[in-house]
Amino acid sequence: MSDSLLQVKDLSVAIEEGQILHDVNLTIRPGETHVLMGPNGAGKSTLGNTLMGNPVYHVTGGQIFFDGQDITRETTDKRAKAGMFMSFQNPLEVPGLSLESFIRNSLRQQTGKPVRIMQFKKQLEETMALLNMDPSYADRDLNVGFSGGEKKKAEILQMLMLAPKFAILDETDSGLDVDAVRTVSKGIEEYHKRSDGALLIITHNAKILESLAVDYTHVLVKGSLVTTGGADLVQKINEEGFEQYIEEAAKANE
Amino acid sequence: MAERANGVIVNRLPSLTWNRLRVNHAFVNFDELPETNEEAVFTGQHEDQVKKETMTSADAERWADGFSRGIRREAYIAGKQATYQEQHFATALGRDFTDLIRDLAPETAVYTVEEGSKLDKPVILNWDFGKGGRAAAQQVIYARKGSEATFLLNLSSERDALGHAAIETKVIIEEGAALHLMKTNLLGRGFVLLDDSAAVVGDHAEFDFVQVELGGAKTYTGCYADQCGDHSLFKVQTGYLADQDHLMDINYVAVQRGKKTDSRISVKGSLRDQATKVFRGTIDFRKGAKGSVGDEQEDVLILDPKVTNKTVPVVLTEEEDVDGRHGATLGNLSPDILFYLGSRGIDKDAAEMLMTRGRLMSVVNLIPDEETVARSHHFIREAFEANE
Ligand SMILES: Nc1ncnc2c1ncn2[C@@H]1O[C@H](COP(=O)(O)OP(=O)(O)O)[C@@H](O)[C@H]1O
Ligand SMILES: [Mg+2]
Repeated sequence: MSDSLLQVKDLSVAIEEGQILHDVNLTIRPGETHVLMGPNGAGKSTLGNTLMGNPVYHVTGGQIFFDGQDITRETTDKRAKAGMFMSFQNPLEVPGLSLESFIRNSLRQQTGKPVRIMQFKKQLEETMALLNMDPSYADRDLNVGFSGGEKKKAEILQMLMLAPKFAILDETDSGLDVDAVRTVSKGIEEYHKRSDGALLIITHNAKILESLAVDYTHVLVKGSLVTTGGADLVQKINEEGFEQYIEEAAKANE
Repeated sequence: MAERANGVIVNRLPSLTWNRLRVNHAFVNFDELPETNEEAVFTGQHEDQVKKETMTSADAERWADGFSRGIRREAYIAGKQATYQEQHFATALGRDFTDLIRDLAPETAVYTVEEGSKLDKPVILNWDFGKGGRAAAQQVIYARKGSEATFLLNLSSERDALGHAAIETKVIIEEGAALHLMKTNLLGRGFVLLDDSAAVVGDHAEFDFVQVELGGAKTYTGCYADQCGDHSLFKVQTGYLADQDHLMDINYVAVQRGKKTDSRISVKGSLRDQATKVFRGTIDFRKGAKGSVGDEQEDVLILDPKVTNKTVPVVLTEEEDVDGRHGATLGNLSPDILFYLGSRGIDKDAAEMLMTRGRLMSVVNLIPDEETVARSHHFIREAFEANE
């Protein structure tokens, strides 16, 4: 247990409108790659947001441990500083803040030290090249006027630059064309290689996982984790869909 | 109407179309000025690049009036109700203030940039108020034909200092000359500042005005450009920060008389706590200003629901063949954006600072003096740290 990076214990989450997650348990060790699948509206983003500390989601039961600390009530920025990251399903547009400045200031906040500009710029340039991003995006306002694909690449760029211990990727691949998925997937592989970071990948798509060694696959249905398997579970679900699990969940609720 | 109280009316809006916002002018109450007997310390840098003379303020005023050819007797105002005051050399704060500062500052510094000369370095005029104090100063800058110069006026004090300052800068820009006038306000939290700028802009001449307003409790400022020259350009780039219960009262006026004149007013700022900002921006196309364009853009970041944000953009036209525009962007830091920034390690205070700095530094960075840029940068950072 002590070698776990993230430990979610009996986590229940609600919003004003009602309960979303029920008694979720999940353990992720350093460097592991976990996949989270489930039908639309199952609560996958809710889990990601709750791990990251989005105040919209209220923890009504259970605990979240990260790197040995109980972070259940911790603010979002503290979780980030502790090494947690989330690639947003819908990255927000922030006029008045450039992508470069955003990353530089994130680094500064996380390390508590001034960023060495030349070194930073060089690394940013290289990482953007790796992600086939035009360097001009660095000076543009964060996500403003970015295509869907560029927004997702910008998220992966941030992950690579910030090198967190644990990254949640919330449908980073959805809505992207084949090339963009390949690029994003390359970025994830690079992150994994460079920082031995752990991953929780929320996806419907096996393509993004092609170059990754998946350790565990979890299936979330109606706010409950109904099953956990290995890498082969992704393929199985892609072929058979979620029906079987939805039925099981319905039975379990009877 | 103001005679009852002891003070002056400043920053009149040149048209009375917006009465309901109650921002047709501002009133500065002298009884509310902080008491101080200290005089600010003045230092000039790189003044030897230009000719500097001292005149009595009355003489300087008469002399400057001679350059403002089209301005006397504003009898006829663009089809709107006339509220321009009679002023030979029209200013943004207005006649009451001109009368006041003539008494407060008996002498005026007159700087002449010789014909065709291009200054290497900015002429920097600093007023340091230290632990608190007052100053009243008038300058006339005379940029002769084809010259180019930058004048940077810095007002600063310690953070908790109080005092008051009255500054008036008149600028005469002859044919083909370019004058960059930059003003920074890094005054303490107890300062009342009245700071006026006004220019007469000749043919193919450029008046580039940069204003960085970060300090003070109450600031009344403005800039009036009389674009009598054909193809003249008036460019304003302002960045301000107002917090606590502070007031930022701004009045910019572009009077475009020449053919193919161009005015561009850009004001960016950040409001927090219970601060109040009033921005009046007038683009006034006069008969004969054929082919002229004018544009005013405002970008306000609202960091607190308790701030007061008043904006009065006015475009007046006597001429058909002109294009006047205005636009405004209101921004705030929504919970969604705070969560997004938070997920990268940026907390609420840091986010507010970052978003403010982004807006303001784009203006601050226009100043060609490293020390002023660094001090402004530091001031913004401190404003957010000290506020917690
Ligand atoms: N901020 C929110 N406001 C209202 N309803 C929400 C919010 N977040 C999630 N929900 C609801 O909770 C359920 C789970 O949503 P979500 O976590 O986004 O699912 P998934 O990511 O698996 O598609 C859905 O019914 C969704 O409508
Ligand atoms: Mg989702």
